[in-house]
Amino acid sequence: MIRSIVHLKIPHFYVQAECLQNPRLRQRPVVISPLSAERAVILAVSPQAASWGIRKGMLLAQATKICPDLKVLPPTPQLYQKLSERLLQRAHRITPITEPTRPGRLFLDLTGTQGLWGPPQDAAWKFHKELRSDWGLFGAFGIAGNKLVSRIASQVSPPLKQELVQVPEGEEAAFLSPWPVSLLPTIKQHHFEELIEELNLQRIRQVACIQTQRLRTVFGPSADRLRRESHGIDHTAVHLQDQMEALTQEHHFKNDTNDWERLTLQVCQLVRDAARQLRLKNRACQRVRLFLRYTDMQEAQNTQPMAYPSFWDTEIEPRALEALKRARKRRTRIRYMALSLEALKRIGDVGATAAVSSLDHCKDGMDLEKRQKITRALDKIRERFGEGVADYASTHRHPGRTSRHPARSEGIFAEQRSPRRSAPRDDGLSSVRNDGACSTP
Amino acid sequence: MTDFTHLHVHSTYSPMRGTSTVTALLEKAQSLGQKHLALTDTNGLYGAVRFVSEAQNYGIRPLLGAELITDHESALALIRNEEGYSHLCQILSDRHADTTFSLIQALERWRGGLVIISDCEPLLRRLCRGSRKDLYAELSPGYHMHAALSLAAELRLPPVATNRVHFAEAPEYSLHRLLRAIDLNTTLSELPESELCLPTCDLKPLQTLAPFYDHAPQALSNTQRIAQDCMTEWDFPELLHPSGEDSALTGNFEMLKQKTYAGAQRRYGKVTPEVFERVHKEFDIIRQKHMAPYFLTVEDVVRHYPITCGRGSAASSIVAYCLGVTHVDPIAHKLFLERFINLERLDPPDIDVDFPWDERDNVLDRLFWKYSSRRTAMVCNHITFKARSAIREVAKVYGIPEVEIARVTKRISSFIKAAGIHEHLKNHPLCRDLQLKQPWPEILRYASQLGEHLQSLSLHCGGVLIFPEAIRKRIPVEVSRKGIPLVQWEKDQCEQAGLFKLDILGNRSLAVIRDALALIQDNYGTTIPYAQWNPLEDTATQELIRNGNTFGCFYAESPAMRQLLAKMRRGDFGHMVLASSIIRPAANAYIQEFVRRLRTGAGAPPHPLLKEVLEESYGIAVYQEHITQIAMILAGFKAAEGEELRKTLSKKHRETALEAFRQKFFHGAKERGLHTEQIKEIWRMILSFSGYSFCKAHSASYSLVTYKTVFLKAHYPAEFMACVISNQGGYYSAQAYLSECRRMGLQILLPHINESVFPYSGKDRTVRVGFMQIQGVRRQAWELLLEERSKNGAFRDFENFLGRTHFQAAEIRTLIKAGCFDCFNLPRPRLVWQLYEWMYRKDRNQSMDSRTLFDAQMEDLPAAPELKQGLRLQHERAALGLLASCHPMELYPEQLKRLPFLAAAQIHTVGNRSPGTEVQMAGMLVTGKLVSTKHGEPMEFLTFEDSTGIYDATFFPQTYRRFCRMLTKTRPFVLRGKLEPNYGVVTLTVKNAEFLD
Repeated sequence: MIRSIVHLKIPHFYVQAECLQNPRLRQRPVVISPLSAERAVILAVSPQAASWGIRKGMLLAQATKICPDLKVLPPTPQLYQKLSERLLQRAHRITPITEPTRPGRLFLDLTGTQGLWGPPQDAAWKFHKELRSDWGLFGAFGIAGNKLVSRIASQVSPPLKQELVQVPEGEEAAFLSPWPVSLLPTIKQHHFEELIEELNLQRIRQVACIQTQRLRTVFGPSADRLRRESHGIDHTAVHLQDQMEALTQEHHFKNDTNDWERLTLQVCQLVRDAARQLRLKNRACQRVRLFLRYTDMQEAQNTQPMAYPSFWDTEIEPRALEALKRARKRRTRIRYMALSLEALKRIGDVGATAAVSSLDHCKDGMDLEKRQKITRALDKIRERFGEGVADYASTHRHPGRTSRHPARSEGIFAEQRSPRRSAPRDDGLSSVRNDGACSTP
Repeated sequence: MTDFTHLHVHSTYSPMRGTSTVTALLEKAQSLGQKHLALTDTNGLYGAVRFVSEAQNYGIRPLLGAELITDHESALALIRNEEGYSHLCQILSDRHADTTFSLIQALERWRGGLVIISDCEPLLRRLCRGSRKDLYAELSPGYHMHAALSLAAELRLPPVATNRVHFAEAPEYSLHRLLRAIDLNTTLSELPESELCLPTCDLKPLQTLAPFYDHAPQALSNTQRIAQDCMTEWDFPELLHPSGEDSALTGNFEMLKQKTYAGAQRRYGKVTPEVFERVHKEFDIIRQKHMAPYFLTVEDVVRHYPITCGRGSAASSIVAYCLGVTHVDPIAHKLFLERFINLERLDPPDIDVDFPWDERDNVLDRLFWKYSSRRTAMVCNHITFKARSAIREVAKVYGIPEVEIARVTKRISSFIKAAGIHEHLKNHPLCRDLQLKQPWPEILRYASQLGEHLQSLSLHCGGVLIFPEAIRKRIPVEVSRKGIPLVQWEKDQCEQAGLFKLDILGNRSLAVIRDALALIQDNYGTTIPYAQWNPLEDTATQELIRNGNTFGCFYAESPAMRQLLAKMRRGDFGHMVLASSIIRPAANAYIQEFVRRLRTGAGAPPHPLLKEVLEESYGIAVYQEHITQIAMILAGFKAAEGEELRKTLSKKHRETALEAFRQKFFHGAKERGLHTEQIKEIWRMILSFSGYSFCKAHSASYSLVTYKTVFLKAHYPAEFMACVISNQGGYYSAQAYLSECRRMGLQILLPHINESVFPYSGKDRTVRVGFMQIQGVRRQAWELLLEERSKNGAFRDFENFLGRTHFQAAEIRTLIKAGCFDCFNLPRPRLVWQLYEWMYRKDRNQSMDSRTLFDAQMEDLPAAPELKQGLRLQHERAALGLLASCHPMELYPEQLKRLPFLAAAQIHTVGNRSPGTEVQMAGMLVTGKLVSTKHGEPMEFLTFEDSTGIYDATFFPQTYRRFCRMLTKTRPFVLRGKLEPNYGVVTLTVKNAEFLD
């Protein structure tokens, strides 16, 4: 059967979401950044702001100096979450097989839907029109026989004149041939940019006509993939949300920090939120990965295996903290962290007992049933009264960090060293994703 | 109430622990009415000499000691007598040099003359096995005091009270935490408590401490007992050179005489009565001061490493000249001997000798070999904080990334002190738009409190100390990273303690001369003997100097010096000596007046009595000895006092001493009938010697090296410029030197796999870029390549190269980008394909011998069109770190066509013909010098170049304020401004600046 994959790309998703609330912002340079933070960085940029040379990750103070007319909006995660969900719901009206990759990016598998909706381009076109006229969103659609080509098709659509680009079956290679080689994902993933420049390979067609054997001498094991990509071949399937293999909980610090206590508290917070999601979805994780991005955009990560599959905060937390200790090798401030609970198993698959029997090992001596009850009760309280109303005491003050000399906390940074009584969550941007990838907006 | 003395006190000399300077501690101790104060820095006597001398000013009797810390043991050691001093030096040296050091064993062996105070149980138990004399248990509030007291009772040791002082005032505790975090490379939130002192460890009065010792009052009174027992009168020269010792150095006076006579014959041919008289005058002084071995030691070194430049005041010694240590004839050039040695001078004279920078380590090796590492050590530098380093280190503790730190520090000059951070940020135009949000204000507040805090020791650039016996018994010695022993005192404290030192300094230009002479010998077979070489009368050399055409030449290549020479229009040696001496930081005001007097012949000395002294320098004080002479003539100073005034002017901590000299000078001059205005004017002239200044002998010695380099530039330009770039470290970047090569009409060639050598090479009219310029390639791989090439001949083609060398793929890609293989006439992308094909086959062990198969495979490679010129230049810049194929301005032909520009080569012609003309010029920034006007406003003298020439531009304060933030060496500029001639030299006074691109 001929596959029909649509890739929807809504550029500047966060900014567009804000503009929906306030359409007068459309023509202005807009950025999204925490307003009250001293060391805020820019999380998202509108095209008008980008034309001033403002980039994601830039310090807000620097950006406002470059463009005095800059409109700064605080991030509103609920709005983005809501819009993403609406998009997904709308997509589900056409096909149940959808794969959201990042906020504002979505694959739809329209294979076999011709009988219901007519040709895929018609269904996509209808979606496209609805987005623009009813929702006021600008999006680019790429339609092709696979994910790779549909994504590149949506990428090469001219910005702000977002159109629908369709690549007929069998014409994938011809379509890709004039575009720059750097569009092929392998080039970026394996940092081959410099090498293709030295080889004077500029267009995809130049790569496509080189034998795999030759490519192998230069690009090693990536050669096969590169050649397939240059010919527009990609057999990967659109992954259903339900087939998720990892759950990622992320957090942008409003003010970057290198305060150890703040970092550990935030990790505990992420564990708490992610473990709750696991319980809701009836999954247990076998691996914990912590990803850090420092203020200077350098990245670090560490993965810790679980002794057995689990969805309990108390068991995941020590592994996550160990991952933090190992991942953090520098004293530079951290701007962003993401916790991925990976290698997920359905409780039914691994056996319910495996996931919960570990409670026998609780150090505090609390029995399995009691702990289970408390955690479930906490989940219910949170569901009913909101996050942060009730929590384990341990997520609020990290154990073993009492000061021998009380006067010490009166020195510099006393404010940061003093025990926290309120929830540690800074007002940065936290969100959950289901793909397990650690890339961020 | 009993009296009390603080016996455990850390100052800023406790590396990254103590927060208060010795002055602050003494001041506080004085205010508390203390009669004694101990200085016990961590594992060192780093500030001993300074503490002793400062304590005199506060009327406090200084006790010296150290807190000895290892991983498991700690003890306080206070010096009771000379023996104790020697033992403590030995223990401290062992602590730093011996990896198996055990404090207990060291104290068991070297306890004599020391008072030991500790609360370390194993240490006290062990030492109790010996004598209990001078052994105390340390009781400090907050440090397990009761356990210590019970231990004291059990071991029958007297207790002694200390407060383990780490700061004069309690609020400095936060600074202590910060220092610890910097030292341990961690953050404040992760500092282990074991690494910190208590917040209460300040210099407390007895009233505050006494309540802690209600149950052990004898602990307080014991401090007094110890203070009375310990040594408080310090005579360092006597401690370091106990009387009756023979000289450290070998050789005797008779030997010196013989060598000097032989040298005089060699230097002068016939020894005239004048020479004879001067030699004997010096012999008298040398004999009385026992300096013969010192001269002979230096002579021994220079005999083995003959390309030298004896610098400093020693160049005025005819003995040094005859021994080959210096190369300027002190009689012919009238050099003032008394500046070097005289019988009244109390401090030891220095003989400073420059060696080619890459031979310096060998020279040091020879000294360490000859006198043994046991007796020889180098002087150290105390690494402390300046504004930039203070900000960087504090910001790192606060987790600020490097790029953000650099945004602040790059706006701060490296001369700014940490205490001046706030003033600089507030007033300097570069910092005008620096809006620093939290935590920056906090970072800057703490950074400005850092300053004299000792971070670590580094090797002084050349000071070597040689002792008659084991140096470890005299001064604590550490071992540098390079494995060289170095003492814990820096230059000033060494001098204050009366130590003899040899200065063995590295000099890039001597290496340039050496390499150029070797190249000339290789290229043309011409030999120029260094020692006999006299370029002073060479016409071409004098012509270059007269025109200020001295780019690349030693000591005369800075824009200021080139301008001065061009304004002076003199090519003779005497004027060169004057010019190289008047160019010094504080003498700007006098330079213009000097040129005016030289060119017009007008002007008189500030007082008729100075006519004779200042005659040769047009009535302006130029040399250091002028200060001594002026003070002697006008204010009745003795020679030694005049010398002291001269030395005080260049010292760091000079305020008090200088004020005393000022009053003495004013008083003396008034007595001799000078009126106030006249005295003030002369004192201003004296102050123009602040910072650094030179004596005539030094200037003459350096000028001779200048002449030698200018001679090489005039006669062997390609060889000379190649060596200038190869030896690196010149005033300008390699890119700027390549531009100078172009201006000199030399052709620049890219690296060539068969023709290049490691350094740059020059012959006839071409300079070839050396392999050294290629970035990111291992030195070892180059050595193997050069060896292979010399053994088996040039590389036939690319495959031949691949087969015969041992580079990594990434390195070969860099070589391709640098243009090393352009000689094989293959497109560069094809070379990359070939490289990978070859590597692929090699990894799979496919036979390389089968040339047919290999050739067939090569034939089959994908079509690879050559890179565009723009990309090639980009690659060249990435591989070499500079553009060698063309001048950077040639990258902007379109922009240059659009507007009319005055070419740099025309600036002097146009400017002298029509002064004040408004012009537009283009150029890349080459270098700049930031100065302050007399109102304290910053302004900058900048040098730009276009493809035709080089020119100087002035950014006066108003223009500087507007454009200082855009000044960069990476982008081309368009400058608009007025041409202003000054004695024939035209500069551009800039009104507007913008980027060309």
